[in-house]
Amino acid sequence: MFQPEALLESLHLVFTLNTMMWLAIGVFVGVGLGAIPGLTTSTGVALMLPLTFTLNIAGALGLVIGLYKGALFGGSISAISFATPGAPDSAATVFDGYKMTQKGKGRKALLTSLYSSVTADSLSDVVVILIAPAMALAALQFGPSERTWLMFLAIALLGALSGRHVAKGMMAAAIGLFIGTIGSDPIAGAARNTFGQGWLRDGVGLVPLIIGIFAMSRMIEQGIEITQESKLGKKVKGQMADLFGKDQEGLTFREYLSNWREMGIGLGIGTFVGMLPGLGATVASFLSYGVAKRFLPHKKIGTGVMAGVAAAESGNNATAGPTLVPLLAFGIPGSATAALIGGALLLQGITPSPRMFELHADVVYALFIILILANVFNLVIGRGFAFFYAKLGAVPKPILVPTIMVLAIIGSYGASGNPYDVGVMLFFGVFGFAMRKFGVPEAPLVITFLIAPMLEENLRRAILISGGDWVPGLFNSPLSLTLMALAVAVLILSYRMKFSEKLDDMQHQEMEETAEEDSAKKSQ
Amino acid sequence: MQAVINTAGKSLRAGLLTVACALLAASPLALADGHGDWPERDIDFIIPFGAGGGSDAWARTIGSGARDHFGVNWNLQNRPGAGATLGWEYLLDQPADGYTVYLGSPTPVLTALMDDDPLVDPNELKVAGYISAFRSLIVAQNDGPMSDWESLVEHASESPVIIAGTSALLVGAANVFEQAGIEAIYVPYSSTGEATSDFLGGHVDLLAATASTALGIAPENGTVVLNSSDIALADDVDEQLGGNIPEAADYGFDGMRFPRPIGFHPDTPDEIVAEFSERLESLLTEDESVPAMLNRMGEEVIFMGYPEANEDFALLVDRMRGALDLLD
Repeated sequence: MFQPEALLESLHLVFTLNTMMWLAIGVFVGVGLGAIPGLTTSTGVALMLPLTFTLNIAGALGLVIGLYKGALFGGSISAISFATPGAPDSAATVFDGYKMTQKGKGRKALLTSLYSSVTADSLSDVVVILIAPAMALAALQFGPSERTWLMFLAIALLGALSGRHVAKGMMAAAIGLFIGTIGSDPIAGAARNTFGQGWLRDGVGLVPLIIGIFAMSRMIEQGIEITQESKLGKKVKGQMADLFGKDQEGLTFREYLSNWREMGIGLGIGTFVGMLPGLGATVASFLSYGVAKRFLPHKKIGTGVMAGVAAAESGNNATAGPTLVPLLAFGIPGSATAALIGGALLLQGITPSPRMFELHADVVYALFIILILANVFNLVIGRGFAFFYAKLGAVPKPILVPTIMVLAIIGSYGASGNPYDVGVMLFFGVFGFAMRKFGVPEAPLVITFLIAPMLEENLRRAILISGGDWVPGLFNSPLSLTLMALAVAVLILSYRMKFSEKLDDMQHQEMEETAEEDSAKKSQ
Repeated sequence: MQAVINTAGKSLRAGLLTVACALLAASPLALADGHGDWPERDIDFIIPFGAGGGSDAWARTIGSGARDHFGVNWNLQNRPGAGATLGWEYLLDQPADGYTVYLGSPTPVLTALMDDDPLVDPNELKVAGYISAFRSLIVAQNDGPMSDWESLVEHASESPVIIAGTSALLVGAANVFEQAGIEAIYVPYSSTGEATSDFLGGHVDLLAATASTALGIAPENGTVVLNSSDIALADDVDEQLGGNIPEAADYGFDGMRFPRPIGFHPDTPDEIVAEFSERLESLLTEDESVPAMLNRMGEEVIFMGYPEANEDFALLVDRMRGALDLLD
């Protein structure tokens, strides 16, 4: 129920110099931390949490929410500039963002990332403010069987990322699936596929895997290019050096608007994924990127275009507000970051629960206002920060490549302070390099690694709940059946699209061959 | 003159010997009183989880008051990995000199018990004290057929109940269910959020939850039917949860608590462990800032010192082993 007095009180709380200052600090630190590989959003919020103890409620919320949103965007800066995602959330941004940088369009990529992030973030916040309770109730309908089918649907949708060589894509997916099973059984808890190594009991970390596959593998490749003084190395160096030169292309308003479909996809998927506990911004980002690539083939996503950056970045940023929905409506922390924001509220003596709207309506309204304001701060501070960080891209490659390698080592260690993660990152760096050399796509590996453990957990829980019966376990609600039907429809549609693509290719090849024959005859 | 010198020398030697003997004899007492030479340098404090979690927050909060009570600092080290047993293994590799301490939780114990070839034996810890403990509360739907303990038992006699929760909390529930003869399907979750969501969505019958999680659910969206631990809820928490929450002991069951133990290498001298325990108690109960900070974080100090905590820990490991068999 709307409480006008509480709204007035919240305006008094938020629009103070103190709150604005902490909000600005939060965004500033967030973008900076986000751009450092290995320092994830939740790590940044956790590091700042003790500071909130000394602040008032609006200042504390400003600091943590600003940091959260800033870090979500910040991860894309290094993804675009150095192919090193600041956090796993920005891994999908590497595909097109880094290619744009290599084409000398780094500035355009960064601005696309910033504007699409802020747009999707702001709109998802508005959705949260308008229909948070309804969203929370909808999220509760997703039990283990519904989540299982949702994962199947996600995998079906992400088939687009397997590239043109389906067999190679399948091989990468199988490797990702195996790596995802390393660690402990999600139900029985027993160690499995650990090769007798105790330190692998927690599984392979997402951060070292992403940094290894995306950043280290590329740096090994570029390092070899430097040593061989290949033409490509010189070309890229030249283009990175003038990344922010005066003749660098910016982003026009028309170009920004041309990405409305990708931002719409990101907004829808990010908002939906964000409100479901356990999925997170990384899944949203890959899903948004995969869906945009599948349904907007004319945009040629994956070849280094704005649309790819816009889809990935709007997807991850649109999760920011919705992640808080289960926390505010039921006291359920939907993600690690939401749990930390819940911790900040607890430090202020406010227990996140359904009673929050009744007992602390002013705090809930203040949180909503801060969610929106943080986007404005993100736009201003993020713009300046992005250019400052990206200037590092102008550093000559013989200096840049080893610097990024060192950053990758620090980042993989710093994420959880586990020295074994450095070894894991280096292993995946070499592995990723080999994959690139053999033309095996990275995306299916990362996606199955991300989704397969969730799929297994939910599948086994669904069957456990039904007493071991598969049919009632997996087909127990209209929602399950709908999601299953959608997954099947997407698979059939994908197959038909691939088939027609192949037909087109064959026709194209035939036409080329005919043209070649004609020209050969003419020349004779 | 020589005789005088000899006599004086003998007296001096005898005096020094007496003093030395007295010092040697009194050294354990002196140590126990806090006047010994331990600690002479900073203490390494091992947190077996990454930065930002509950254990990390506890360690950083109590570590902030360490100098005032120990005279030295605690060097906090996050050593995550292998289900929190990597940090434990590190502790066992260090000398048993009282300068490396490990902050435990139910997670590493469960890991060690569930693994076929664990990195550590779960009994290899000399526990100096419990700094807190959490309870496993059994929460049911408000308008469901199991809204109190009696109806839960009755319902379970017809068909097994389905209960969700993280492994440690399910172990607490399983311990009581076994004593009550209740058949249950235990559905483990890696995160509290997902388990709570599935409970609120009606996908499972019951939820095993901590008091802080239950506060977000009850009384609007659920009813706490039993506190399965052996620790009573604080009065204000009990009231907020709806009041008169029954405890395991009310029905004649042995409840199980899940402590946060702080422990040393098993070969560490008892005097040092006792001294640490004493100083830790004063830090957690007499200090002005640390307990206040923990209270504001929503955490509760439930202290048990040495040797009681060490004896209880051994029993707890055995009971957890038994309850884990039930989960299988």
